[in-house]
Amino acid sequence: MKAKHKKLLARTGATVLITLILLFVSVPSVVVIMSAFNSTAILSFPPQDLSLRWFERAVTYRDFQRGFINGLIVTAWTSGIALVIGTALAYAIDRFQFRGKDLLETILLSPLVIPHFTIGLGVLMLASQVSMRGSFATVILAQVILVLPFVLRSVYVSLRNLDRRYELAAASLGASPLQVLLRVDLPLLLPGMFGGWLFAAILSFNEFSAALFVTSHATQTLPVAMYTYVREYTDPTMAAISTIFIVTTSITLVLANRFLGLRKVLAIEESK
Amino acid sequence: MTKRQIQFLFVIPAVFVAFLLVASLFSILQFSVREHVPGSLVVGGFTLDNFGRVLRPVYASVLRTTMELALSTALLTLVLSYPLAYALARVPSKAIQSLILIISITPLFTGDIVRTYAWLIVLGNNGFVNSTLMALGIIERPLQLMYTQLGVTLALVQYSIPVMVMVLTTAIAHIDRNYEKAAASLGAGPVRVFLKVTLPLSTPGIIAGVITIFAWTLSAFATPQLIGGGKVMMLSNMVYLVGFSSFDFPFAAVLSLIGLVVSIALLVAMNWSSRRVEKMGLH
Amino acid sequence: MMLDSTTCTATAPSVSAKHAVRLDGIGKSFGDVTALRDVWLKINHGEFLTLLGPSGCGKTTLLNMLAGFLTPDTGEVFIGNDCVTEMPPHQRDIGLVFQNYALFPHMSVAENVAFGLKMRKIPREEIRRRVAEALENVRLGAFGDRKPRALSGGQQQRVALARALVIRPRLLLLDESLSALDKNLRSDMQVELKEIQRRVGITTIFVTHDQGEALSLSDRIAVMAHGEIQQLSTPAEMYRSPANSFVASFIGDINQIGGMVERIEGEEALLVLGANNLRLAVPLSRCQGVKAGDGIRLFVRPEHLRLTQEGGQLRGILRARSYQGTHVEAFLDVDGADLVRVRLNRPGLAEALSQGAELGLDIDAAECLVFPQEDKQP
Ligand SMILES: Nc1ncnc2c1ncn2[C@@H]1O[C@H](COP(=O)(O)OP(=O)(O)OP(=O)(O)O)[C@@H](O)[C@H]1O
Ligand SMILES: [Mg+2]
Repeated sequence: MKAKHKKLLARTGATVLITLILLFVSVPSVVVIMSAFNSTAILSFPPQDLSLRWFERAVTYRDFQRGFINGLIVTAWTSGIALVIGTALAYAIDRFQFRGKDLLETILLSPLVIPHFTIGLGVLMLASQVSMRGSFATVILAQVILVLPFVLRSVYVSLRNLDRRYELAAASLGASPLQVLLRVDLPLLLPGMFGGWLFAAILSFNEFSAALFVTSHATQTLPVAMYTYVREYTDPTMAAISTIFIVTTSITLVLANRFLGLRKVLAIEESK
Repeated sequence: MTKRQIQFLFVIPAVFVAFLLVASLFSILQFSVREHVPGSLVVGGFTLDNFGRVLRPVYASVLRTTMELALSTALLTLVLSYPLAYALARVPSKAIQSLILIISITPLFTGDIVRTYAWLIVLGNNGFVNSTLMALGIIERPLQLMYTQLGVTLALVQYSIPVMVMVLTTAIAHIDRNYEKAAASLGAGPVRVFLKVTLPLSTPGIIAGVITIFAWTLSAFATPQLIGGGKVMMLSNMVYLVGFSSFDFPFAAVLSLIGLVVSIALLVAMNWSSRRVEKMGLH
Repeated sequence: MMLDSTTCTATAPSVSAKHAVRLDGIGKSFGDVTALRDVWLKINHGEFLTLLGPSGCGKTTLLNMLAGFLTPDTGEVFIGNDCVTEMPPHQRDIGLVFQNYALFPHMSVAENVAFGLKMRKIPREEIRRRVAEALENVRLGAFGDRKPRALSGGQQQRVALARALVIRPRLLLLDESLSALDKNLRSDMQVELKEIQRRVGITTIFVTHDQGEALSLSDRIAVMAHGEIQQLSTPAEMYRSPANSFVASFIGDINQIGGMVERIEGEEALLVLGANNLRLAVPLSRCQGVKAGDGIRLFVRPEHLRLTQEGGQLRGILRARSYQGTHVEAFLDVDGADLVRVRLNRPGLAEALSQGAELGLDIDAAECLVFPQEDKQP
């Protein structure tokens, strides 16, 4: 009886602790969503009246619109390029022996630890030496460098989990190496590739630090436009657009979890 | 096509990106040894003076703040993330696992600006915390949370939790549950099992996590920029200030190099410690 | 592709090849490890040949060479009349079944079976017909639309077999294909596999380290150790007349007793055995390369020993009995030998005996085997 009591107490304690931590993580988002529906320009808690006017302003604000379009352009190119390059390299690292393999891998994974502002400044300086400051090409280069490690890892993990015997079986059934690649490897790698691509796309669309350094007014992405806005205005337009971001991101994550398994995409190991 | 040509095809685009990355970092190095010509974007001749300026009190204090923030963030993040990671690795219900995972990693994906803006309206003088506390009559005047190290740390911790959770969950899931069962069968209660078996066996994850978050925090820009508001400055903010307000790119380059060197040092430390841990036979 | 022309083109030009498979002096090393050492092997058309041997003896390596996943360091591989040493796997027309089946998880059962036919650009209609036929053949006609993971182990096994056979390969290779199944299913599958193999008439090479499986399925068995074929013969021959002491102890249960050759007399060798200097005359045909004065080991199977209460050529103490259903095994402590295993077909006798009783053993000298003491023990 007493042991049972103790166990219940421990479980309750653990649940409360976890809930509190999760609250700490999620409260800012909840507060943002709440204030986005506030009718007055001055933030106040709890909101006085509900209104959608800030959403209207957010989606009609010129800089946000341009930032959104720019962001889509940059994200589409970045995630596409990173997917192709990352997949090819992951395959090469797993299957081929070539000189400088470790060095290449180390260099391309280094953006995981190098500060984004360092990379942003570096790309900016490189671009200004060849007079390409502020161009889309420069912005996309910085983003590709930043997201490539994620694609590389995601595809590499799926490659490692791919049973080589599928390839052997296909070859014995008459599939040429190219057919093995297209009909066996590619379909089996697709979830990993999609996960890596999604990862890259979200990170690229939301990336701010490096983007601030490399974009110009003409190429600025949505987060940069939002940064400028926060510095100039205090009305809840920001809350509205943030709400859109948060909701979209959460839905994407829930879907990714449902259909891909987030653990797999994030390369978190299952417990045995 | 020969096999070599195919391999070439697979590798060459990546080599190109790697080349541009190295070239970018090399540009920083190049700029760092050039003279700054005030009022001009064009840099002057060769000089090493830029490096000497790092030691001036303003910059030294920025470096100290950066390190303090990185360290306190890493430790606090560890404390808050461990329970989440433990639950992720050990709670049997898939639904609860998914819930915890999604909530705890969402901040990673909403982006710096959205996340930081959210903290602005949580911590501000008319913000959520102060309004709530005043409404409850706990305080009379708003607490100063904005522009303080505490405020910046809180926001940085939330920003770091997703990464820490990912590292720790993998480490804890890695532990063979039979060790825990063995300890329990030998008479250790749940708390002792945790303290004597699970926690020590997750040391590699803890070390990796703390170092990763340290590096992760060094990279933070938007959070200290907006919540620090120029009063709490990290290295990244100083680089931006120097580069984009005084257009002193050579000195911005020097400061960036410091960030680069610290990150590389952390990476080396991480490799070294994980090898040490392997030697101890923990993994 | 460059073929090594010197030996490869020197193939017999006859229209139909004498052997289904021929290995000429195959050798293969991985760094310091010699996986195969000068292997020569000829396999007849329609034959069921089993490669049997302990782990790491090179069975999979040999199979991989036949399938084309490995190229030998030395020697040539012939399938029919063709030298295939350097031919890539997808051109070889070989059916392959793995231990864990390797059914493509992203394709249905029918798509798995159709895969090889698609690679051969066979018309749609014919593919459909042959897939249905192949699935029918392994009694899985109704399962075509399922995904492989929705099948039981035995069913997956049969799909793998159908997938390998539907391309009408020249050769069927099975690497430990039954080892993942539990015991009952396994013996069912053995019967089924053998039946299908005979019906199709396909030359088959089967790898296992289960000697029971090898004895019951094979036309011939090749016992391997350390990358070499120790003996190649029919199961009965292998059991009755192993070529060396390794094969003798690897196949079936066998007792060993140390001793020496006293002298050779006519067609018999006179041996002195054990601590009590038992004398035994063994036909020379059952002795391998021994001469007077040599130290030897005598091998005798449990069923060739007879237990007696009184007398007997050897005497020993009964240490343990183990009930086996159809018979009883008794273990006797005999001087100069490890525990000697005796097979008793009349269980009643054993039960009458108490542990610790001293008993006699008669040896059926015509069934014994004698190998030199220093015979290589891989
Ligand atoms: N790719 C390889 N690299 C290095 N050594 C190898 C490789 N493949 C096989 N070997 C070695 O060659 C020897 C023969 O291996 P092989 O796989 O043929 O054994 P096997 O008879 O199939 O064993 P098992 O019954 O365990 O499957 C072993 O010592 C093995 O360690
Ligand atoms: Mg094997």
